[in-house]
Amino acid sequence: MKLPREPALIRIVEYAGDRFIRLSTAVGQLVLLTFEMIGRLPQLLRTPRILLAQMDAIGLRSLPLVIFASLFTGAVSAAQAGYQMQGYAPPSLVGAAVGKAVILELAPVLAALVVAGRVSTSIAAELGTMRVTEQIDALETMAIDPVWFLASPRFFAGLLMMPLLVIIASFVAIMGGYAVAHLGVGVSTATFFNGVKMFFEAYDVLVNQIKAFIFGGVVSLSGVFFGYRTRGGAEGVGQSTINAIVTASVLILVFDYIIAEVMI
Amino acid sequence: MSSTDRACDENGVGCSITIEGLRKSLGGQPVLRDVNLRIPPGETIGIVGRSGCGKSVLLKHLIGLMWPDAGRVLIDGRDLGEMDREELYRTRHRFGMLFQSAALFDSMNVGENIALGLVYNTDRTPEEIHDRVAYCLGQVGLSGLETKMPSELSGGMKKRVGLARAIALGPEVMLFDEPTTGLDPIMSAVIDEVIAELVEKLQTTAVVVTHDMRTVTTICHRVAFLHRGVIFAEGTPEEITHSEDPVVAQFISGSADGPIKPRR
Repeated sequence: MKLPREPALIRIVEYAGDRFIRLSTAVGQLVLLTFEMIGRLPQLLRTPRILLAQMDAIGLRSLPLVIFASLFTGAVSAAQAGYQMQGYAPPSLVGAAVGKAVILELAPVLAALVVAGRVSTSIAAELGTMRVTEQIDALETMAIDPVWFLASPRFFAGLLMMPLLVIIASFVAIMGGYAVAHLGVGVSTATFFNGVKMFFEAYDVLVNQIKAFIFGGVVSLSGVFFGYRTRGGAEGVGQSTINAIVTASVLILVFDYIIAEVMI
Repeated sequence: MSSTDRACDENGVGCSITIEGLRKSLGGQPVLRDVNLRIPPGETIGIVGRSGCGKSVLLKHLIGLMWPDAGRVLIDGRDLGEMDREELYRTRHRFGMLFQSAALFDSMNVGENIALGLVYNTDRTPEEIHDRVAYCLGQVGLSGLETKMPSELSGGMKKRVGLARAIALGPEVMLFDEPTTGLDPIMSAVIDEVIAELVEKLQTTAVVVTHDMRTVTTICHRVAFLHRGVIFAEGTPEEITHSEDPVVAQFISGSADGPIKPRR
């Protein structure tokens, strides 16, 4: 006998309710995990070796990728600024445009996006695999707190290393912009850097670093959160990895807008 | 005397475990309906039952890897559910667990796997830890394998390394989750022998979850048969293997015909 189907409206409400409950649960778990990790900070500082290892893995090993991406970001922005200003604005404005765009926007956002691609995914895949192969349970049985041992070092390493990466990214991008402005557009060294200095404000660096700090937290927290709550086998690990990078990328753009609205 | 000190003396008598009215549902399906079991100090008990009957779920409740929907687990009279994090971790110091998949940390070599609990839970010097790792590996017949990575080991060797890791902190209670699953009969016999020797030597309480009746008859003092979410039958291995109860008899004989209807 074929059962009568529920009315479409009821199914839609059920679906929406189910999604809302799942989302609320996930947000609650995310907040709890964040507080747990912050609570483990004193314990983590007593074992700096674990934190330093993650600062190396998340920060220093991302450096080549960040330098590469920043170099071309600066180069492209200089080429575009040179092209758009041709005949309309003085050449010194190329340096000003590149400097301002790189420090306020391009370096933090693009560095965060490339680091997210490398770090959020690797954290999610690593912790997810450890979850589904019972390695996290094994830590618990050995009386080693996995939040302290696995989650918090990754989270704090992201928070601490991203500002450093963004400073380097900003410098490299400006140098990339200078190379193209000088060699391609014909702007002299002095004119370019005078342009950079002309509109430079210390406040811009503050915005640059606040963005980097928040993006660092977003990148590492996405990886830790989705990795930590992985269920199932290889498919679950794959799904967690996708969720981590998508969430990190979206949140970087959302927070970029919010910070711009609030601070600029 | 702490459990870690006891590791050197190997004179423990284990501790008692009491399970009262344990209920647990997973994904809306009741798995454990009302489990009651008392395991006195020093006893080796086998928990047997069909695949998916909740044996591993029950085992994970004994060390706080899962929490009951109702009922409680008492370790030496203390309710696990009433312990704060510190007390729970202190209690876990008294446990050692061998996972079905061995759950070795795949980013660490064999020596680091075994040493991890000692590094973060004891005040031992690196030399003492090195000696303890060598001792534990010797106990499972794998001396000299410290520098091997888990990926270089066979299934049986992984289980033995998991066993060495489980005894590293000198546990008073050993939990074994399907210790011989996936191994050939000869390697299964080797693992059974190693477990029997270790449990005897360390004088621990031991809980062995398995559906391998040979493991039960080789190493267990008592057997509990888990069926439909309750302890359906309990007795010595002799009593269980000769039980006239049709359900138990069908499980022991491994027959497809009988009151237990196989899921197809």
